[in-house]
Amino acid sequence: MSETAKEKYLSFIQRKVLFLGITVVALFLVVGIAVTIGSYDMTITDVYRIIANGILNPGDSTADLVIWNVRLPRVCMGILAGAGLGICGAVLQAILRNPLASPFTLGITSAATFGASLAVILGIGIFGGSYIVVINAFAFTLIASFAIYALAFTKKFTPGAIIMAGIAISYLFASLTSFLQFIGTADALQQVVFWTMGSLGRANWFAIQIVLGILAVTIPILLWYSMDLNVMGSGDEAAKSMGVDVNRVRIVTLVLTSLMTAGIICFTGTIGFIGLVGPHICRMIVGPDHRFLLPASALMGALILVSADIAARTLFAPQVIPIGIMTSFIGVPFFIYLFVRRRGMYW
Amino acid sequence: MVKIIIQDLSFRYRSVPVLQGLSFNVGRGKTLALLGPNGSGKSTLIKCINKILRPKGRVVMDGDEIHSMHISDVARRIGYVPQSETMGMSMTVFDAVLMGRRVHMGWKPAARDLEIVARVLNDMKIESLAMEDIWELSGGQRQKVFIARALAQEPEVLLLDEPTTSLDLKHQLDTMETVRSLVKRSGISVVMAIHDINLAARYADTVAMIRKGTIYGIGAPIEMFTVQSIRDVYGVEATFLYDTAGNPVIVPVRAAEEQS
Repeated sequence: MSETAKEKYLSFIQRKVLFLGITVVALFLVVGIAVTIGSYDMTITDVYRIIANGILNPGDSTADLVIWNVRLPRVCMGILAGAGLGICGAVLQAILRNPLASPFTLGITSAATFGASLAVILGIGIFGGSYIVVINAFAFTLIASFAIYALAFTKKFTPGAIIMAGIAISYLFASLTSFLQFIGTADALQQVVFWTMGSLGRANWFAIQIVLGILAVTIPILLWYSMDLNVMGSGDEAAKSMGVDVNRVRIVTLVLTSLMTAGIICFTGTIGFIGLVGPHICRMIVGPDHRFLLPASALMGALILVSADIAARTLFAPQVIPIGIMTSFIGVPFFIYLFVRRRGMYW
Repeated sequence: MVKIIIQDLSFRYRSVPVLQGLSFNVGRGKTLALLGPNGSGKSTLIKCINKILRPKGRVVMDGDEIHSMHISDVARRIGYVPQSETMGMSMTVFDAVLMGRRVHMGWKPAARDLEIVARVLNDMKIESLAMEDIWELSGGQRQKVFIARALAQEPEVLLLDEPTTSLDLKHQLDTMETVRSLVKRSGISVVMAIHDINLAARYADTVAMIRKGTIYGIGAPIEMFTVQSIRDVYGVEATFLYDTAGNPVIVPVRAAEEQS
């Protein structure tokens, strides 16, 4: 009798692994398509061949240069940003026990927009030079994060306190940004608005290395906390009784997700939706076990963002639509389909 | 044989004293019921025993001071079923019970972890529900899942906070029978906060009556339940009947008049 439950569970796990495998294959195909599309004609097999060869022995043909210098950085940034924001959303929804939580809930993206606006409109930056907008966005995101931690600390880091602190900080930076926009020139205003809509067009290999470095450190730690995140879904008291140091997990994961969000959006601008709905889509398919949900959310985030970028570049070519607009267009129909089709509740 | 010694335990919520200088023992393989009106401190006491709250005083289990132990070491020895579970996300029963293995397993459950979950599901007679969504179960079935999750921790002591609240009569009896058979079979000690004094009379070896954060009295149900103790602790006049096993059945009659 007892074998039956165990066997059913193992078969359930196999289905989750299968979903992860299918998503990896889908991402591989979408990446190929994303790199293939553009004004310089090439086939998808050329793309895979040039990428495979170029890893060890970069060529100097036009196709090599187009792929490695123009298209691949954009797609790689899409993969990393989508993966990072997807994981951040899943983690924040777990530790705050709130289905509406995302990197935006904490208000830190408002701080990033303020930092960028400060650089664009007033030319004020923590460091000058060509990375003034990036560094400002990153720095103000971290400043906002620490303000949220300080406020939440006074209320023992309860989920409600973190959300309320996030909302307060969000409104503060939103009003500061509005003031800057009020006094800014039309040209500067346009740049800020463009920044807030998100773009992968600013990607380069330097930015990718930075984001990759941040994700390489943070994602394994978040994955290591998967089981604790599962248990925290039962409430703080139940989680403590199962041996989880709730406050420590909440603080560590908050710091890591803040760092990831800051590292990503300082290069891409604010990209909404993925951190919110990406994890929900995956939760409906693989369930709430974070050992599978986190990788699935990363893959789904990357898949949506790279797909959205394809749509953004092709729908009104040669005009490129901001990626922040396209992510919702691509992801929402899929989300609604799963939401309506799924039996019973999932959160 | 004593399993847990509670010595001079006090706890305050901000400046309000909730528990004041409680001292008592919990016997090995015995069931202790904590009884008292709303706000008497039963649930707080339960949470003080397994370090969810940090009280003053001592909780000693087999010679080990609980409050100087790491929270995961406490979880390896004490299981807890909360009064109300806020499990927001839907998940399968198997996944929910597997969470109880968190203190024993690494990132990936070992074969033994899965065996223990399957065994506990079988013991609790909910194996057929293993792949059901926990939120599609009845209240009674879900309560069994939470008890199963605590048992998956392989605890020496099980703490139950109002295990029969919001259950119908059948599921109340079912839950209490399950707890009793667990105690008999595995020899674990049980401490439960409970509102129903008749269930306590029937299923507990010892009852501790709590009034305004202090122990009014502790002993066998037949000794502790008197007209006077029910009046003093609950402010209720009651009459007593006795079932065929000799257990007292308390029938509340009316609210007692306030004593000046």
